[in-house]
Amino acid sequence: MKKITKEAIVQRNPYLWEIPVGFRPDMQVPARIIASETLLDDILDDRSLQQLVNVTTLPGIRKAAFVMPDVHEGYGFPIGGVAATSYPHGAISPGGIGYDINCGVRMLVSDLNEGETRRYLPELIRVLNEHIPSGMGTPGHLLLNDQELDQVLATGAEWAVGQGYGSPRDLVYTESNGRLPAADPSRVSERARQRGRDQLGTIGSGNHFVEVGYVDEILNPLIAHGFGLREGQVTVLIHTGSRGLGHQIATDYIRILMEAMPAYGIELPDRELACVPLDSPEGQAYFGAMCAGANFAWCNRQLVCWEVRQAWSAVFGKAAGLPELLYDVAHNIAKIETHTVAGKTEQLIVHRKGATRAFGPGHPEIPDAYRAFGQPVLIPGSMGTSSYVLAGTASSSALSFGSCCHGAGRRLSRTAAKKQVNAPVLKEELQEAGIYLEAPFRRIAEEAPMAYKDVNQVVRSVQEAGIAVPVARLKPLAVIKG
Amino acid sequence: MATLLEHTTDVAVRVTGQTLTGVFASGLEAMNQILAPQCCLSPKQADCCMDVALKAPDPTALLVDFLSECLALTYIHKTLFCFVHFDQLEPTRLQARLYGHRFGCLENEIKAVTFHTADLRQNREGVWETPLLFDL
Repeated sequence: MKKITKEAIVQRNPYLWEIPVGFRPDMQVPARIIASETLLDDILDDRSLQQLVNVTTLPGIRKAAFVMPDVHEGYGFPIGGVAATSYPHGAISPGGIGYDINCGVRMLVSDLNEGETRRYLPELIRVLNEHIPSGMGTPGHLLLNDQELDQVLATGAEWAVGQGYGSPRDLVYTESNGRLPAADPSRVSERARQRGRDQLGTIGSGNHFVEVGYVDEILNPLIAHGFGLREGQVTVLIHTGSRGLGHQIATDYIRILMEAMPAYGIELPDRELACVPLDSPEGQAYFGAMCAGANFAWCNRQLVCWEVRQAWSAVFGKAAGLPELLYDVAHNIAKIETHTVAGKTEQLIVHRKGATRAFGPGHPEIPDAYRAFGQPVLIPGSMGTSSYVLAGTASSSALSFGSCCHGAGRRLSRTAAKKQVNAPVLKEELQEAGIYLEAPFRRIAEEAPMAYKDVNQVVRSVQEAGIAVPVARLKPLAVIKG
Repeated sequence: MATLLEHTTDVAVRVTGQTLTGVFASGLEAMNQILAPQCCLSPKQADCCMDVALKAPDPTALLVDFLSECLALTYIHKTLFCFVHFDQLEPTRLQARLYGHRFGCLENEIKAVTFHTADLRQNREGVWETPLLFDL
């Protein structure tokens, strides 16, 4: 794979960089990087940009392939990548979505203040840990039969709310109301069903977490008021996805699409980019299964949200009120959306892998109460550092298919982090700083703040690029990791 | 044998074997080492065995399919398959029996075995080798 150096990259403005068509003969469109120069220098250290150039070769790709400032090396697509292909004949690629279909973030806001909550933290983290199954191999509280699983795959978070695991209001504040209607449960294999059957309401392991925090600073008072945010307010972030069910859907279809590609004359530089036209039989089957996986993920986050609320009631009592949903966003998904390309409105298949939808004010898919302000974009930082609430802008649609970053972005491998971090010391330091952690030491080392980029720089980049507006900065109080 | 390779996000290894059987067994061993380090090093009596039969267009795809199948079976049956016996192993087809024991909790969750950079072939010394990337 050809190494990319800074000399190959053209600066369009201080926060937008481009690898022009022609850098490699198979590029169909330019590759664009949204980042400050400092972050770009970091990005050049791994193979993210080679992977981005590979993405520019996808059949039917439109305008440009993008990476966000939190980009890091993945497989097939880089993590933090966005690519749109023409609808309906353009490519659909499971590698452009990732194995964890509809991995995403849900944010809850409470009536409590940071000051009054601190003394409850040890108890809160203990009870949260009891209520939320985490780690690998720990099943959830539900074991679904075939009929129930079909309903979950078809209706997503609606199923959970219908069973009493939330309120109709939760659906209003979930991207796509927690349900993609194109889901086709019959396209989900028996293997995938077996893997997901007992996993609803679980966070899994790796970088997934439940984090209790508070609003440290309001950065845009008008929008913060619109989102119902105030300084000192206690918040909860939930980061998880479609668990084994989604992982197996991706595994199954990457294999199916790899074998189908020659029939469509498709050749690609990385087998993990396997793709077919969306309107082909294989493309339709994958899209139906992927949407079902996305629905499973929304249902999963709804269940974890219910578990958080159960724990909340147990610790603070019923009088404290339950934390309400601010928003739930996907960051590993493909959706059919309308955007403007070269002055013309087009329907596109937008792939976001480690990137968040960030629609600007007025977009009909934003809940009524937020529509004037833009879609909430949730950016978790690394354990122990700030997280952010942003709002999408009109220019995000024009620049990056209505997309933004999804987190801080890894900069150190897990092995390197484990070598460099003394987990017991870090845990103690975080506790001294008022942050309680419930996680195995190995996970604390792997997920230490130094393993990630500076989230403040990432947010600054998307702000300066004009694709999101910072609304509030959050600080963590207690974190559970699997 | 497996050696760790550098990768920012996930776990990448290079697996090698003197024979096709050897490299497939190395791949399984590497995967188990990520899922539950040391767990297969102290042999326990198998309490579960499963048969696997696969066909693939090339040896790389066969290896990735084999490991993906083992991974799915690990999660579904909550069993770590530490030992494999191949009744048949050719470059594009295999029949094998997996032997394992049930686990309580795994240390890491592997989401998938990927095709990224995977390219199983014999090097100049005749050793089978390929990089493998596990998505964590």
